[in-house]
Amino acid sequence: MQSLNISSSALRGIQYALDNTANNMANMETAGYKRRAASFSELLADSMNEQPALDRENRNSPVGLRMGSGARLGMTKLDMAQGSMKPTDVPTDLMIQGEGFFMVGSQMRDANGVMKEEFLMTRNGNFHLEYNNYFNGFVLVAPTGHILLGENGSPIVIGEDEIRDFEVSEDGYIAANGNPTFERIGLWKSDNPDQLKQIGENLYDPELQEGQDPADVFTSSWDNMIATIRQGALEASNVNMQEEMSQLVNIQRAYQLNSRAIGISDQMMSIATSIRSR
Amino acid sequence: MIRGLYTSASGMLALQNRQESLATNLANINTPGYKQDVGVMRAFPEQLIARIRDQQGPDIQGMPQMTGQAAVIGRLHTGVYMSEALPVFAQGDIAETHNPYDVALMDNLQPDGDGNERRLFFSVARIEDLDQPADPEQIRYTRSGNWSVNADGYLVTPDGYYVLDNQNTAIRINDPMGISVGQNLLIGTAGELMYEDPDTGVMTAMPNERLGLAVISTPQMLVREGVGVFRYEGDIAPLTLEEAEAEDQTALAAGEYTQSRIEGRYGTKQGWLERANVDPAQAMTDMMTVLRAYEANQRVMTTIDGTLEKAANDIGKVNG
Repeated sequence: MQSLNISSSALRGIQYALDNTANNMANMETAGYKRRAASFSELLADSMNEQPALDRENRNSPVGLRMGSGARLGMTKLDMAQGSMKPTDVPTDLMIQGEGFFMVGSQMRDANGVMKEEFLMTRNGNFHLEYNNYFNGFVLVAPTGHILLGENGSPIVIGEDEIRDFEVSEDGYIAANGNPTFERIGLWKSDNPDQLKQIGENLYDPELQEGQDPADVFTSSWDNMIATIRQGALEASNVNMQEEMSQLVNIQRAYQLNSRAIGISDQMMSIATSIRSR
Repeated sequence: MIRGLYTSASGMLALQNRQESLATNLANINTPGYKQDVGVMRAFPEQLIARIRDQQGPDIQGMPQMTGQAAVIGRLHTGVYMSEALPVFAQGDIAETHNPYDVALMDNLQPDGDGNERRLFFSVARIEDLDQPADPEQIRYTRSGNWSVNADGYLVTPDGYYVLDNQNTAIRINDPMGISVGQNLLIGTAGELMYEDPDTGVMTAMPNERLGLAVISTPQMLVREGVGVFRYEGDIAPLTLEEAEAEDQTALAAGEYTQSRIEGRYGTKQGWLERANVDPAQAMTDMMTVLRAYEANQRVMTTIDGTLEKAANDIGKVNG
């Protein structure tokens, strides 16, 4: 019976939606996390065209009986809405207000000791200063160990002296110990964040080709000033508890309805098998 | 007697189809823009039932016997089948999603001059050459405004159909060589595509002017293809919203209507989605009815089987 497949396809999709909601709720306190919204999509429809010849008259729809075959999880859209501000007063915590991502690079090296060029994007501004032997200076390092890149796409190195006073202006310029360093934090805006590959740990992989400059693909948020940086704060995740809970209720009820449908189909099959037994 | 066996079997088959369509409705309870199907059950064509005429009256010498001729009993349907699954195009609830690529359609169009139900749809199509308008054969209609932007910057449905503008061309949101608006796309209440110019702050129209909204006056002629899209097989060509509005104005000027039947009676709402119009309580109740009717048919079958058993085993049994 096809109805079993129809309902079980829906159950599978609903389970994925539940996974998505659970992930959103788990990341409620993750700085810079962007929620995903699950949406369902219908499966293809069957058409049974061989109907009695008399049937061509007195009907409302074109000839044939069309039957759907269930539902699936169509996509999970990335919701780029701004998260609320969480002040921390830590000077190396940076928050993006507006559209844009920080670009971070890997600290991995190849066999010759040359830094591997890699570009990853994140909204998490929870950086710390760390002395880097390769660059002979202090760099800003993300919790994942990636180095923050400047607007030219290369790592920001802030001198070798001990940093006592660290300041970042609204437009991304860094000053250390009261002296401007002329290093500017790069902020990049993606026109289509849905196409960024989410690789976990709050990172998005823009999948740039070897040797491709981020400026070829993305526009800098500093053009038109569509974003500013706020020092001493983190961006809270944009997950909304009420919304996720109502989604959860929705999902649970849909799951129950479909499992009831399976139960009824099962009863029908058992009725069919007991035709011969009285 | 054998006839009855097949009649109840046809009943069981039809109810199975009905159960499938109800299961599909419930499966799509969270699918944006889904329109629930209603199964239409229809009896088999009527047959004239006759019996062989028995001898009537006394046996008279020399009188011809009239036995062996048909005597009409009446008419009988020998079964039932599900002839069609009609989508119900009633408006679904709308829910806020905050996503710029989600658009809900709200229509409250009045019936046209001939009293036909009218519904508003988005046009979508599969397109080979994206610089050309879509082939009219390829155009499909959908109520689902749940879209995203693909890697080339075109507005697409989750199943890869291109969303069409009023010129039936694909809508490009992000053009690396031209205008790239990303998530700053704005959609007006009549489907106008706009963006705010970052330099001047002026609201500017996109190269694709408006969404391709189609008014279909015989929505029952839409063939469900699945994945949320319908193919139109009716005789009355779908009108673009502009054409429908122009006709409406003409009719209004000619005094056929006292008030507009289209203008102000529809809207596209960006950041919202139309939910499925499935009523879970109704679907569940229908399913239970189907289950019991199925069971009843099975009982009839079993009873006929019992009668047949008597005929086969007990009649003519000696010293039973």
